[in-house]
Amino acid sequence: MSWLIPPLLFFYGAFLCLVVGRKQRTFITLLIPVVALFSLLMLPMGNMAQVQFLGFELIFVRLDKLAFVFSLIFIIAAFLASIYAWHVNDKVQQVSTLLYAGAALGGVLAGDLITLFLYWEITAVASVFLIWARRTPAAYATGMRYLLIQVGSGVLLLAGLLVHYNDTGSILFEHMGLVSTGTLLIFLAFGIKCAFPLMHNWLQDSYPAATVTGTVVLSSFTTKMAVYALARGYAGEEILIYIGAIMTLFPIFFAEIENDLRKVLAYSLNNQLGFMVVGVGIGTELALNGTAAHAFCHILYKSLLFMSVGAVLYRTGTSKASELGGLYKTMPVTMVCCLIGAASISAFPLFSGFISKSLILDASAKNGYYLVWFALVVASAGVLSHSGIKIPYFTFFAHDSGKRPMEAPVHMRIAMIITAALCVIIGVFPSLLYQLLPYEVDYKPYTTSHVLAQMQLLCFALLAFVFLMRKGIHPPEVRGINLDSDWAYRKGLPSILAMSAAGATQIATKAREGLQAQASDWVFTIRRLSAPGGLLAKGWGVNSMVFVVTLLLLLVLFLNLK
Amino acid sequence: MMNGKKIAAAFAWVESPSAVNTAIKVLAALCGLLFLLDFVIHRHTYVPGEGMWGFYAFTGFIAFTLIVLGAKTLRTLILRDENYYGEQSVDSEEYPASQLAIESDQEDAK
Repeated sequence: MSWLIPPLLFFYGAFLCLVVGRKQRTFITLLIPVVALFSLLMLPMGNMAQVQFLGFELIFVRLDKLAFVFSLIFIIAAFLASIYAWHVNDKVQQVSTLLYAGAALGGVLAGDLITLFLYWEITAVASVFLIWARRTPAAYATGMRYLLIQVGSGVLLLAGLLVHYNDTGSILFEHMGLVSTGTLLIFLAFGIKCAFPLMHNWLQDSYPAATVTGTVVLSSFTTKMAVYALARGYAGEEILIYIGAIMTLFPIFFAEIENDLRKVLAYSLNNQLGFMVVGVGIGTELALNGTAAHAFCHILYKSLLFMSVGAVLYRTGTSKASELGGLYKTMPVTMVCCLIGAASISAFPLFSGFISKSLILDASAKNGYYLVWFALVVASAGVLSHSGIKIPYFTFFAHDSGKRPMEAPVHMRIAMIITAALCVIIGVFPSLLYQLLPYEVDYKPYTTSHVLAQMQLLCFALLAFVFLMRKGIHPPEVRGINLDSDWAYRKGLPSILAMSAAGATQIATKAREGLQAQASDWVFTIRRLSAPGGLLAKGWGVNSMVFVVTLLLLLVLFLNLK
Repeated sequence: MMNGKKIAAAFAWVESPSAVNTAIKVLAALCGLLFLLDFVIHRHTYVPGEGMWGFYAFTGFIAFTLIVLGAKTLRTLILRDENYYGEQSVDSEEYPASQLAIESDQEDAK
């Protein structure tokens, strides 16, 4: 049985894809998630697939309710992404998708830190091929930046794990808390993959650079594996509440002015992670349920949004808002799916975001984090602005771009419709999701007061949008990029290095010139002295010779006096 | 696709300014109604001030406006040309068309 655990099934699939032909590959990418789902459902709770390795006991599967809900959604996401990528005839992408999904699953099921580290690094290496598969020089450069940061996170994890083992003698992956250097290093490793503020820019840099289908795959796994890892190791760590609150707020502004819609979605992903991190930071049963539920819903609606923008890119060749508009005429199914994704992420009642986000908001209010709670409410209005309105409005409506692309291919439509249906089903029947959550759920999202509050928030935010558009205050979509903190290592640091290099060269040149001038001065003086008629070359008279000899004798006498 | 055409037709009102105006009026009426409901329905609250009438309405409107204004200001500081990072960044290039299926809807073009 331990040879048939879900992560291994994905690896077998990846290996098979390496050797079989095109049709079989496509089939395998669809089949593996289905088989893995059965395997997951048949796994008993608890530890299994334990292996002795260099005196350590590695636990490849530790299944409990928290791991189960993340594993389940990862498998669903892999399946939906495979349907969406039905047309892809690219061995690189198919193999790396399976490897990547399997490794993320393995990370979630890992029961010890060494196993976690192993999968942590496989996700990094496997996923970069989804960026490189775009096969342009820019994608190559972006992939290298992505890989450096991802592998860097793994190195931090390894360092932390070693220190932690040295301190405690344990490699178990369980609640650690921020108590030592080791746990701090592990925390930072998780933080990088979770896109904490100032460690976030790899996400917005790389996801929009991936292939149409690659971005859909990427959006599901790495960051949610990190959220899971935080929930496992650092639940209730108060600093996470504030980190999360900042994460919900700052990406909103960047998303609002970003032109590339896939980058808008990457910022919005970052913002959604903030809600989950707040949940982990509060750490109560209600809050952790909220984090798990929100991760589940978020993977679905974020995939859906990336799918719909991806379909537009696939048909028009661009995902830039300034080049799009009016596409509802010829891509109506994509448009409706996009609207459902937008309503879900904005947390309209009857859509999935509503029933998951409110768990986290309520947890923050009940535990007295009023300021954080208010930040989350404001961020919710912000989500509506960039994901709820901007994505569908500027793509499918707004000014007519004149583009009349074909509707998305059938398999893309099927993937989007299933995903959209899941968003609505979860929104309408929240108990379906609630019963999967790690703790008992005693929560009713559909109370009059809650629905009213959310509708007021969203409708008035929508009204503000209409008002700002009518008054011409809302910023138009323009071509261009917006700087983010990655400027520091992409431009700032290199230019400082270049400047210091130039400075050093200049100093060296000056020094050499100075020395040369000095040396030629000396040469000139010696020449002058020894030239015909010079002081040293003069004929000396007998008198002066006797004088010099007397001086020398006196000197000798003087030196021998003592 | 037949269904697609019907869906598109159902959204065609967005082309008509008068229909859009009507939609905005409906939205405004809905907002008014939601605002008034605050006086009728007692919202269950945890946070001090949350129970104040119009709390969510004001928060929604003001937060949205401030976010847009804030973002607009931010743009003046950080907006750069698409080629700013040169060929190190995908912003400067087109998506390779060979991997896409860029097609126009022929029927619609007629």
